[in-house]
Amino acid sequence: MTEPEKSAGTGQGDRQGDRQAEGLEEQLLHGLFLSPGDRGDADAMEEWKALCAQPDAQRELEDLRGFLATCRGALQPSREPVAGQLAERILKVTTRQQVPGEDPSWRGDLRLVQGFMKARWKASWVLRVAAASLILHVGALPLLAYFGFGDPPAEFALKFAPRDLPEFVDLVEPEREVEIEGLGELPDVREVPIQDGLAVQNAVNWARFHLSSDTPPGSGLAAAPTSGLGRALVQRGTYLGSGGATRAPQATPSVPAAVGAVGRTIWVEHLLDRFVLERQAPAELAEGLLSLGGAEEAPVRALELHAMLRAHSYGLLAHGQITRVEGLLRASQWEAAGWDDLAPAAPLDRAYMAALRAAGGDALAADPVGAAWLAWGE
Amino acid sequence: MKEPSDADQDPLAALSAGRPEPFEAFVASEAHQLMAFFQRLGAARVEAEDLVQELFLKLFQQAKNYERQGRFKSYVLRVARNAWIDRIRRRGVRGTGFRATGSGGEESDEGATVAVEWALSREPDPGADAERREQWTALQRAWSVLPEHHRLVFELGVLQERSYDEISEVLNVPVGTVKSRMFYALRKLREQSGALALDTPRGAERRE
Repeated sequence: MTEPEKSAGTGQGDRQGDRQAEGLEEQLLHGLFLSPGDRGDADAMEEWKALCAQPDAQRELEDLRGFLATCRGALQPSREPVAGQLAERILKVTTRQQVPGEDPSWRGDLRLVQGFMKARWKASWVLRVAAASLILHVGALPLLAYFGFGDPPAEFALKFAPRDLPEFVDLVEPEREVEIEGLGELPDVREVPIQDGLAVQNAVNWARFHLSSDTPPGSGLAAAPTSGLGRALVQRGTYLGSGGATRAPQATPSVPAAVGAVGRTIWVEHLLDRFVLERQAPAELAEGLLSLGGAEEAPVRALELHAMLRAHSYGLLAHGQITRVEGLLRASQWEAAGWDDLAPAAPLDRAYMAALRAAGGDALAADPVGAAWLAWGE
Repeated sequence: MKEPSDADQDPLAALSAGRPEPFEAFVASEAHQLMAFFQRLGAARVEAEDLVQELFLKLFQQAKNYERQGRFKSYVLRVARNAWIDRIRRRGVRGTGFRATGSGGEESDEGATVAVEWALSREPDPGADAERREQWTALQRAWSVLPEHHRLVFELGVLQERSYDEISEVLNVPVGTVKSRMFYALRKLREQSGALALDTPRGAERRE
């Protein structure tokens, strides 16, 4: 029955009676739940009996007891098998797991310790911070060990390395003696082997490498020659093009007079280079060879003899020229003059450069190209 | 339930003295009652089993430091009630009681839903007539929507048959509060279940 229905059923006149019934019900209810101590109290029991003797109290009490009994019936559990299994399980992990003589409470100690630690962990932020710090430090140890005991990091440094040298060809020069009558004092005459070409190529490459790397800015092969001597040197230095490929030199109808005596020897050396590399004597070579041998100064004469001996070693001198060279050698006292080092097969070595410096003098140093060659020779 | 009459019959005191038999007997006799206790408060069956097992393990582990204080059953019910409160907090349930409104479906929560399911599973004897079945069903629905603090007092007083003093001890509230809660719990149950339908002299009179 809903509340409105109940109100309508009882009516206004019954409300006071209901309130009285509720008061009685409350008192009876309290009596039902008296503690055993109170029930032993004679006064309390008398009061309870007096209450029960009131009109309607008996019926109210029965009604109340009936309701409570119905509640117990509806809400009390039936005996479930799972409860028995649960009890067995509990006993297995408690009393029946106990060994004889064992203190059963010890099993709780670990849990108590864990509980204490959990409680402290939750309660103390200082503890949490300390634990986090500990973990951080322990975790950082491997890193410290790695950086503390490992190799020190490489310091910053600038490294300088020489430029790669140009590739040179292995030179094995077989020698063959050529005897010419009447030229006992002349150097051995040899065929012009292919190795000579390679030697020239190597020598020119070597010169170009040094001249391009050692000369100060504004000088060297890149600089413009200011004299005939410089032009001769440029002509010789630029004979070989980049990458070692030969290229035709600038056509020159004859030995330029402006280059002077030293320039002429360089010029002839350049023509001999061409002969060696091109396997064909340039047209100007004969004229160039004829122009040599007239120098008065000993250093210049040494250069002229060097060029002539080199031409002779290639078999380019005519008989008359050979006789003339022989005479010049005698007159110059070649060995006594200390010119033995001027080997005709190595036209650009240090001995040649020393002779060039001695012959060129101030004119060579004044020309930027000549200065570059001298710098290399040093 | 038989109450231990003295310290020797106190299961934990006996366990601490090296005699496990009273504890074992207590476990065997009270396991199903405590399961029902937790289920009536809103625990699912598996959860109630866990709670009972945890409860007895806790008692067992506390045996070493146990000091007899009051009635043992009251002590056990207090521990059980605290365990239930802990479980509710762990679930994240807030508030002092269930907000369920039963089959109306207006407002409900998990615990109350479980309580309804459990209560409806308690059927009367197969031989009971339709009227008794109706009574039980009405009462069980009324139980499921009872506020938790009323339900606890009614549980301890009526179903666990504890006196007001003991209920006060278990719930740690004054006896006057216990009386008040019991009265209002009873009235709400009777109102919600429709007291007239119950098998009582007044109910029979009003049915007529």
